[in-house]
Formats: sequence, structure tokens, C-alpha cells
Amino acid sequence: MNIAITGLGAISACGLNLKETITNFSLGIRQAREVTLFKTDLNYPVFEAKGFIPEDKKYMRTLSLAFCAIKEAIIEANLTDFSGIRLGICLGTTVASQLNDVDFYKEYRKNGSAPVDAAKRFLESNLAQAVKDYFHINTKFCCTLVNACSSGTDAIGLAISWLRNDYCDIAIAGGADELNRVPLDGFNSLGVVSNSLCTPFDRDRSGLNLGEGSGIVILEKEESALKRNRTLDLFFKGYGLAADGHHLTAPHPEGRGLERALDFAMHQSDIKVDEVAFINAHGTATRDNDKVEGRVFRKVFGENIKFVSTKGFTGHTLGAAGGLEAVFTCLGLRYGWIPKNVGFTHMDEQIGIAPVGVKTDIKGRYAISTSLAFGGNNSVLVIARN
Amino acid sequence: MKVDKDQELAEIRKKLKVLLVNSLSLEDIKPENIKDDEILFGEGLGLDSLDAVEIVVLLQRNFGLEVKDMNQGRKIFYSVDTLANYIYENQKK
Amino acid sequence: MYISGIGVVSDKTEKDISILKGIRRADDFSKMAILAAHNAFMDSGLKEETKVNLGVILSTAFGPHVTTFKFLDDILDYGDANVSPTLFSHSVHNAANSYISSNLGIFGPTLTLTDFSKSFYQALLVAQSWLEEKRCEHVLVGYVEQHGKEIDYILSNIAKEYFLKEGSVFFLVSAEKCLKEYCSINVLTYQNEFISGFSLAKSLLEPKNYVKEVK
Repeated sequence: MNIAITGLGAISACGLNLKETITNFSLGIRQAREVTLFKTDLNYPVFEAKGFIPEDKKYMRTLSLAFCAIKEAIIEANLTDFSGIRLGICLGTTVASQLNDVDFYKEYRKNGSAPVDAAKRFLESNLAQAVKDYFHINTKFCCTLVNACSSGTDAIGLAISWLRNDYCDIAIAGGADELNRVPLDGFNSLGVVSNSLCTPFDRDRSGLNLGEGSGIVILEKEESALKRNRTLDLFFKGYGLAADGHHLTAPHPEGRGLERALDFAMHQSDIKVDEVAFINAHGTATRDNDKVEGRVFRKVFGENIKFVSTKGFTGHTLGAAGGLEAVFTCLGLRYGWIPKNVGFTHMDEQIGIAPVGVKTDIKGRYAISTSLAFGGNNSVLVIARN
Repeated sequence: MKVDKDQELAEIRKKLKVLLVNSLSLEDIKPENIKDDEILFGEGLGLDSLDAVEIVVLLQRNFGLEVKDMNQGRKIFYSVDTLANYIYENQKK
Repeated sequence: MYISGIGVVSDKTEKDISILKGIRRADDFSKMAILAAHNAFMDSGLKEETKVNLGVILSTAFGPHVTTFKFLDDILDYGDANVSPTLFSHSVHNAANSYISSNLGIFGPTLTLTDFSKSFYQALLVAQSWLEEKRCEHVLVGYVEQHGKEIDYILSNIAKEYFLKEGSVFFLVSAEKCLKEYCSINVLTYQNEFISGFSLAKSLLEPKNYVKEVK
């Protein structure tokens, strides 16, 4: 069964919508700055979605980002009326799942009590459930994944399963995460945050920059898309998912989980390595991730594989990353080019291959998006152009 | 005076061993049973990369010392002795 | 799909078990998860080799919130720049799943999901989805939850009544009948979205309530 992609939506520091994102990709513009969204002692460049105005303060920022991207995607999909549609909602996040309101806790610690508004908001912030309520969708296929940095990719993968198994006809899938003090502190403590703009895959890379955003795809069974007169240009072909089974914070040194996930996804897609036009990499710019990921690319795809990390434009958006990068992979196939891997200057000999250094034309029908999560989860999507 | 230096180092080592056991949740190990020259990473105590960054925080909180470069950290964190020497040398400054 | 193994850990379960050696840093949330997952696998009698492509799905309402609040303590006590990376690493929802795969040697697909009221049901749906899709032949599906004074404070001030049971329960579910078969289950036709993993386990483990098919 073919799974068509009929809508795309994205919001990040790179653009408040697809059009802005594509423009900034093309011009190689990076929009990072110091943290403005909350008070912090840390002085790192971050990728905030500048200019984004949440429509209603009653929603957690993560939810507002998701609503924004979903609205863009459902417009493209011509899906504003959900009645009579067997719909599924599958979304990934990290921040929205945790009660990490520092002010609430500070007060609770001090007084043994605190205004529970923050807590009430948290209990209304299960991402998929909130989307279901906000858009008035009726479905029991409503799942929030919290698989760290591969959550967005995994959400799309799960939605693909639902469609293939005929649990629903159309799905809204992807991820969202806001920039938040807690993960910023946490990643800093792990020593993986860079105090300059990140340089994925570069020999001298010194860590990641955090970002925020939401990336959403509308996927549907081909027959459903045809019935609704959609133009069919993009499809999901395969999804692979495998655990390193190695360590809580470090990837397996040989990337065994990534290789297994790639193997499964490509086998499911029935494509060969030389048919892959490009890879949108996870590419966080940490010493470990890029080394492992880059070496697996070289091993599996050879030295001529084109790949790019778009985290130079968006920062690491955690739960949103997989969703955003699926969207960017789709854009690459649709328009026939990928942006340069901003920040990259020198190849790392320990990796042995380099990402694209300039905006690059793409020929070929298939592309891959990879995600390597904190905790050792590895996820791969294979996307095809008609 | 050398005696003072030896005494100080001994106190630092003793404090370090307690901190290591507590911060790194080293089960079944008593601080007094950790040898001064015991290798901390890989073999010996078998600590890993997550322990390394936890030790960085331990040094910050308990001794006011920062380790900015983890390559430098590799040498400092070799054993309890090298850690204690680092603390002793840098606390004077 | 078929339930072929069950593992239950409650706050009363003895935790000093060999499987927990070597995970000194793990918090109680992760420890309960590993123990229940391990017990479910052992209960099934499946061979070790099945672990290579075994799936793991962990569901939870509130995740490792006890550790999250300890991490917030660090932020408040020591400042943004001086917090414990160990606490942070364990405060993420998928830490327990990471431990399950690395401690038990499992390299198949792993997912963690969260829902405040139906997380176990959602997990069963995912498991059934994977098995029907032939992503894997067996899946460990589980639920983990913890008590904590902060969560109790929050829930008691917002909900008229709530029920939060601490513990972990894992089921080994399989596409085909195995050595052991507690029952078969079709989540799509299962009516109760609020199904509790603990109640399901209890109903299957007590001999008098042995059922062939869960409706």
C-alpha cells in the first residue's frame, strides 16, 4: 500500500512557515541569538522561533508551535473538515511531557504549596491529546511519543504502521518542542553544548545548539488521497527503528542500532543504497554523534553519498527534530535541491566523508532522514518522490 | 612544608573517595577500600563518560574548580592521586 | 496477539536481584521497569536469541517525575551551570527503556509513550500495530508509575479523585502462540481504553481467573 504525503508544515528559527524556511535554506541564513524566552545563567547561542506569537497564553508554547505547523499542513492537505474521516494523531515531544516548571516547584519547595495553574496546564498538555481537543477530532488513535531526539521520526513511523494496518485513513504526525531551561541546563551539564554556532560534521565541531519548533506531515493512504483529489508527489516508503542497547548517553561506537534501522527501512522500501539521492542526517554537531553517524553513512552508502544536517539552521529541536527533518527531506525531493550544511568547513578524518558544502541539486527519487536519540534509539525514514 | 602538603593531599583524597562513592552511586564499594592509585576509567573502578561529566560537577561544587576541556580531564581523572594533585595545585591559585 | 509472559513489580517487590547489579545509577523508575521487563521475558520461556529483535514499549502517565524534581532541586540549589548530568539523564521519559535494552541485551524497536489516562491501552495498540506489520515477532509492553509527594500534591488539588499505583507491569506479547499462553487479545475490539496493566496482570495470574480471550 502506498502512503502519500499530502501536507507539510514547519516552524523553527529558520522560518515561521515553509516559504520562509526555504528562503533561508537557499540563502544559508542562520538565526541564532542568546536566550530570550526565559532567565538563565547560561550564555549559549540558541535557535528560538523569533517572531512567533503564540495565539493563546493558556497553552504551553510547545502546543502552540504544534498547532501552528499543523494548521499549515492541513491547509496544504485540504483537510480542514475532519468529519467522517478515520484520522490518527501521532506526535513526539520531550519538554511537554515533563512537569519542569521551575517557578512552581520553587514555591512548592519553600511553602509546601503553590498555585496549581502551572500543574493544571501541564495536565492538559499531553501533546497528541491537546491537538485532538484543539482541532475537535474524534479518534482513539491518539499517541504521544517520548523517545527523546527521535520522537518526531518515530511518531511518523507509528502513523505509517497505523495506515498500513488500516487503523485509519489519514494521520497527522510529527513533533514539537519549545526551548526550555531544563534541557538547556541538562545538556550543558553533559558537556555537549557549544558556545558558538554549531558546525555539524566539522572536524572542529564542539557541540550542539538547542532550538525549538514543530514539523508536521499529513500522511494518508493513496486511495484516500486520490479520492480527495490531492496531487501525489511524495510518499513514505519505509521506517526502521532499533535500539543500540549500549549506554544511556553515548551512542554505540559502531552505530549498530543505526545500521539495523537503516537496514530494516531500506529493506521495507525495497531500495538499494545507490538509489538514495541524499540523507538528512541527525547531525547534532556533538563529537560522538557525528562521528558515529558519519562513519555509518560511509560504511553503508559509500564515500559519494550526499548528506546534510539542517541543525545548523534550526538548532537541535529535540522532539520536533524528526518531524522538521522529515519535512525538510520532503522539500528536498519536491524542489530538487538541499541546502548546504551550514557551519561546515573541514572534513573530520575520523569520519572520512563530508556533508554538502554548498546548496546542491538533487537527482533521484529516494531520500532518507535519520535520528539518533539520547538513550540509544535509532530511527530512519525513507521518502520517495513520484 | 612537605608534611602539610602530604596531610592536605591525604585529606583531599579521603574527601574525594567519599564524594566519588556517593555522587557516582558506586555500589558495594567503601571509600576506604579505593586505592589511591586505582585507575578510575576503563579498568579499575570502571567509570564511564557519564561519570566523567558527573566528576566535573563534583569538582565545581566541592572544590570550586572548573574543567573546561575534557581532553585535559582525561589526564586529571586518571586516578584518585591525579585528581587529588589537581585539586591541591589549583586550589592554591 | 498472544500474551506469553507477565512480570509485575510493586513497591513491595524485593529489588535486590542480580539483574539490577551493574546499573548503579538507575533510579527506582528504571529499576522497576527493568525488573518487570526481565521477569516477563523469563516467564515466557523464550530463548535468549529472541532478544535481538525484541520490541519494547514502555508507557507511563508521569514518567520519572521523582528524578525530574530532584533535577529541579539542583537547578534551584546550585544554579543552571552546576546541575547533575546523571539526574538529567534519568529525568527523561525514555531513560528506563534505554536501560531495558542495554541491560537485557535487546536490540529491536523501542518506544516510550505517555498519556495521562490511557497510556497502557496506547501501548497495547502500538504493540499490536508492530506485530501486524511484522516489525518484530514479540514485544515487551509495559507500564511504569511512581508515587511522589509533588505529584500527589498536584493531583489532590486538581482531581476530585485519582488513583496512582506505584509499580511496573510488563507483558510479553507475541504474534503467534508460544510456549506459554495466558490469553489472546485484540486491542482494536477491546472496549476499555482505561485498561490497567495491573488489573490485567492480576486477572491472568490468578488461576481461578484464567481466561482464553480477553474481551
